[in-house]
Amino acid sequence: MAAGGENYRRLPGRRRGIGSSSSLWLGSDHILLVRSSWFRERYKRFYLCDIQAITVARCPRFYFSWPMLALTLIWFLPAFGMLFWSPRELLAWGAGAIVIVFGWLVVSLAASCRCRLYTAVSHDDLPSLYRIRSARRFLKRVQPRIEEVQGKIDPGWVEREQTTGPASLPSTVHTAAAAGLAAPTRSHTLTDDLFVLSLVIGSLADFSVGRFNSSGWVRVRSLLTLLQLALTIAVLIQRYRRILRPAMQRVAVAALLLIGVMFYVQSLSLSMMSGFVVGAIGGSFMPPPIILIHQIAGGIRLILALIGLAVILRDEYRGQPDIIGN
Amino acid sequence: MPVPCARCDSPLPLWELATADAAACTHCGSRNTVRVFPALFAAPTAPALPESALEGEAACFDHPSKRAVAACQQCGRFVCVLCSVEFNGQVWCPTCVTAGRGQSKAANLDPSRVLYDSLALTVPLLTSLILFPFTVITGPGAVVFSIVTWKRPLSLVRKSRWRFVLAVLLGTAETAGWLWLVMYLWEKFRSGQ
Repeated sequence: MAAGGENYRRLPGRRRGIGSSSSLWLGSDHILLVRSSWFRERYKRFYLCDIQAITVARCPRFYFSWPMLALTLIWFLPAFGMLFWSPRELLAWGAGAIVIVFGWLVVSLAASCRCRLYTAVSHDDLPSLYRIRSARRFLKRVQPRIEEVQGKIDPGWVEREQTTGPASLPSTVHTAAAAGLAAPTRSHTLTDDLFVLSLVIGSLADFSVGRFNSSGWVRVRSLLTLLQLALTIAVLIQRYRRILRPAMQRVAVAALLLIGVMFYVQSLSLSMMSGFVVGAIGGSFMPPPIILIHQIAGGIRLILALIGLAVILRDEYRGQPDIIGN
Repeated sequence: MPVPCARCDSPLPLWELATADAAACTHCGSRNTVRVFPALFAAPTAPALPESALEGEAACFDHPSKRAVAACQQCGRFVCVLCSVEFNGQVWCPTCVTAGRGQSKAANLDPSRVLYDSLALTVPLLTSLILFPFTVITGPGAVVFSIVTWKRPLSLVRKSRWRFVLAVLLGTAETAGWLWLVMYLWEKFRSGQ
């Protein structure tokens, strides 16, 4: 056990969420997992002599961190002056936004992972390790230290285990997983189906801006936004009640952020342009920058709808009984 | 020995781990990189049972019929094998562990801590950015709060008190600004302008 005044060294990987963060630190004889939530830090220690296994699984992780939020805001700030941009600048800005969103999606889908650490009595997620690169660097730093304490494992452990049969394995997780109890949540509900549908309809409504600008159609679009807001909140409540899985919650949070950002961008752009465009031409005219903003939002909504659909279908697929196993 | 998938907790196929440090989960299909350590094969140690105390032998404080094996290094009570708790390199009795005595020695074993330095800095900073009039309260408040909580334990992983220093500077600047404004208005009021 460590003496007082432990000097910790930071390990690779850090997750900076909105209002919370997580990091890993290496002490003299243990790894310290720090989870911060506003003004409180919670600690969990994994002693090097107790660690049985570390596993890193490739899987999509859609995190919207502070740096990402800052980048998004920086990118959207110039949009307030869109009226003065040339079409080429507008195109470049839109293309840049699409590249950023696409890059984030690619990294979230292809270069992300979930890392777990097992001891005899626990199995814990390491939330700060959600990108494969940082997980690799973490393993590179930690593995020699654990081997220093525990010694190296016999390379033929698998063959030995296969001949002697299973020994004492950590915990209850396998039986729970095998019995299908690991995730008591449902693959999808009517609410999240409607939510995904509202995203699709919302994206179509966004794409229609510029073609249909009658006051009735504007009211329909506003109603759709309100409906989407209500469904997003319903999805979040269902997740809070552990009815839905976390993936759909992330889609809902992204949709909520999109609604918020759209509201501010549209309001500010319209207020900046109203003096000399709307007044001069008439209320039903929609300036090109606003059309572009709606089309970008429509694209993002469509991507979110596809992700939501993928989440539902994936869970459906996973929920199929294993005919070989049974 | 089933090693679980990090994503779904299903056992990973051993035949794949036999050839590499990686395996694809047969349940969720995720590709897992696996590092296994000798602790996985360590047999669980059976707990030591306390022996009965013979006539004239020291007995455990909580179990008078059991032989004492050590004395609590906090209160001095005799403890049997069952009652002796190894804590921070010392032997403690369960009562002392429960009572949380010697907390300063066990400070590095805290399960959580409040970040007073972040609180002292964030409140005046946010109010000055968003709700400026409230700095009339939060400015001096940050100075007082920083001084009062200066000696409270910080985060386990960062030892520097620069947030406190910055909070005091910010709070002082905000307070000085308000004082200047009050004096300026007072002077203006006195001169009758």
